Amino acid sequence: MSLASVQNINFEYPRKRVLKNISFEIEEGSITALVGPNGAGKTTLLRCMVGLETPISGRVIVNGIDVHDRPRDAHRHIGYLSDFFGLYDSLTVRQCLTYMAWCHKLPLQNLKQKIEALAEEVELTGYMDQKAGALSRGYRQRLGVGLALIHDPKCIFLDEPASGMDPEARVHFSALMVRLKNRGMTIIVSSHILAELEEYCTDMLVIRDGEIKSHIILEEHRAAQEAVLRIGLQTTDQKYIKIIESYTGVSGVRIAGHSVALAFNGGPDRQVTFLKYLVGKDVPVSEFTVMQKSLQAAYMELAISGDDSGLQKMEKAAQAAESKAKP
Amino acid sequence: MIIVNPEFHRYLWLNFSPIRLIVPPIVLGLLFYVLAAQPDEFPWQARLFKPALFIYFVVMFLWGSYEAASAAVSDLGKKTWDFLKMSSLAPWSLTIGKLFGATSYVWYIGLILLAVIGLSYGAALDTVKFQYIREVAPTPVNLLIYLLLATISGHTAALFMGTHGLQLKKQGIAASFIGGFLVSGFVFSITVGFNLQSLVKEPSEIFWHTLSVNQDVFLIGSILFLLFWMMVASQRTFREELQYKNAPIVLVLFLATFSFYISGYLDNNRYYATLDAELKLVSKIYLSFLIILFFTYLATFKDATDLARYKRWIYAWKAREWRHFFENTPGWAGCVLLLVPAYIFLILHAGVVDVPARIWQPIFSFSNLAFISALSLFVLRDGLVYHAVLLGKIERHKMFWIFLYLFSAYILLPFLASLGGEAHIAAFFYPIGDMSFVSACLPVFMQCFLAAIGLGYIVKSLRA
Repeated sequence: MSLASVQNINFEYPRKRVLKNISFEIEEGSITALVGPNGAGKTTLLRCMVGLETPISGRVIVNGIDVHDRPRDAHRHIGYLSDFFGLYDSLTVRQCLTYMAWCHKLPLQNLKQKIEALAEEVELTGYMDQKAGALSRGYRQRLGVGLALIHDPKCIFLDEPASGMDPEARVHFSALMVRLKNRGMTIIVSSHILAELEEYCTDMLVIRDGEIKSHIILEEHRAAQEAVLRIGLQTTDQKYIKIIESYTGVSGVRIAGHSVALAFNGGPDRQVTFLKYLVGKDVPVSEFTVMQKSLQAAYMELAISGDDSGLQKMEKAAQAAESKAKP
Repeated sequence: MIIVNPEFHRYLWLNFSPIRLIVPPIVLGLLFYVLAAQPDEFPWQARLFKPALFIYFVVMFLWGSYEAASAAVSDLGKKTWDFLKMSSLAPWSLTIGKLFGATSYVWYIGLILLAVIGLSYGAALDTVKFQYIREVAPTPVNLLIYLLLATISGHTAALFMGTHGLQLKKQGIAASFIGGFLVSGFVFSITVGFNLQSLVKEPSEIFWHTLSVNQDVFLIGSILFLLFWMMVASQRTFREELQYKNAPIVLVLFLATFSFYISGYLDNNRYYATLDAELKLVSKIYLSFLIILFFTYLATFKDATDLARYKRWIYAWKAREWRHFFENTPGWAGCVLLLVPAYIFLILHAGVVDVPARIWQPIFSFSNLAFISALSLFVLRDGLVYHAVLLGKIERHKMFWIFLYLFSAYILLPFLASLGGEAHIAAFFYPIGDMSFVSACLPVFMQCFLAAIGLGYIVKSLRA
């Protein structure tokens, strides 16, 4: 079921159209990565989606509410953390959370317990009486997320949330995203760190020059992707190579020393069958590795190609997966 | 815990630590003790009055204005504005919370000083030195009310001017701080001040429309009226920042009440009293028209900077989304809603409007239909030029080009024309009232036509 719907959004800064007729849907419970080069319009799109910028035309519907028609109603269901957010440094973590709860007009009964529970969720329990200004980058980010989550929104928009964090803080942040995902929250996150997005994202929106180039459902994409297999052989006798090449779905065989790299069109089941086939044909297999293309690699393929062919490839893969899924 | 206003409460957290609570009473107490202990011919209470008043000015007018001016833009600097915009905080809560929260510590000190001023008032006024204050503030309550009004007016003005910085995403507060301080000083001067009050408070009864009002009551009423609109203006800016749409309905209400308020002063003019009822009404509408035209000019300039709003307006028109169309209506259009009926009224009473200027002379320098028609066309011409420049493709130094236009149109070209000695071409450069309708309006009408062509070209290029 769709939780958010972006319909024909156009946005301009003076004499520069930043978003061009953008439309897409966000499924409830999904985690969508918004990726694209700098200046592509990611931040503007997020700000339009949460109602902080008003597009010149188009609509954003979140949980059935038009964000620009009824921003205050919509904000009850939306949490947002901007890329360069600030905190009230002179207030303690507890005061920051309490203040934001008041601003959201949360009921006063059980507010204290609610704030404690939220602090536990974002791992800030031990820092409640510390001034926000004294927190490290990672903890500031947790508090930022906490402030965005204080009113139990249905979906949360995070703009470059992991930028500037050290590796340990990033691990904690990824774990927090996974926890929120497990709670069923819908998350839209823009980031450059695709390796981390891969851990928890379900969808990827590719934006470039103010246009959505592709909306990929990652699970389907992975299923539809040609796997790259690396097969280690004890001897690279030509007859074994021919056996491998003759198998249906194998292409692009390359030999490097005792290893054979090849593209294999098929999911895990077919890969098992292929391995059984090789063993049955007495091929001396010493290694059988599936090298799945990472999100980063897929995105880089698009970025390096410089045109849309890579994107089209991804779209085709997604479409193929979609058609496969149809009865 | 009772929460009156989250924003106010946040400022209480920030401003009131135990040390900050203790320091002002101790410091002020010591200061006043030292002053009271000085040997003097006056009773000790009288010696506290002037220093307390002086410290009050410094703390409330200066420091308070600074805090109020900072409050509007502080969230921009801290980058916390997005959190507030995403919250359910109402614009009025935000306005009141910032106005009284940011200045809460200043008020804490100010209330101590007000207490000292109030307690020392009687003793001070018994001395020769301060007797004149009794004339303008016969009781301590009068004085305290005037001080409170001056303070709140200044703080509200500082906050209101600061909200413009918020809209422009600029954090500078010098102008709003000085503005707030000046407003406080001005209100104090016209109420208890020793120079301006005689100008404002003469005669002792104010005739306003058909009412005869006590001068003090009228003064307080006028300050409250303007204070209310300054608060509304701040609230409207916060409202806009919180993603509410500001249709020009409140602007129309402000103009209607403000022009009604100002035109009421005509009854206070002794020449006005000699006019017949029809001429009285016409002159009030005439004055209101000029006031609204002035605000139309300001609105035109502001609207010309908001290209996105025009685009949303046009999209809404094309999509027949009338609510969006109404919400995105520029301010000048709201002003025109009032101007048109007022102008029609004046045309219908042209015979009265064009009564020779000698009757009007004490009130207006110009008084005929040709003048206000030409003036309206000049506003239109400048509005078209502002839109052409500010919406156009000039990327940088737009204000320089606007300044150059104004300098050329109103100073340079008239000067060059005057060298030729052709006095009759003055209507090309200024609205002139003492000539025929066509002679006054045709030159500026032609200029409007040219400006409209220029703007049309700009709009066409924007579409492309």
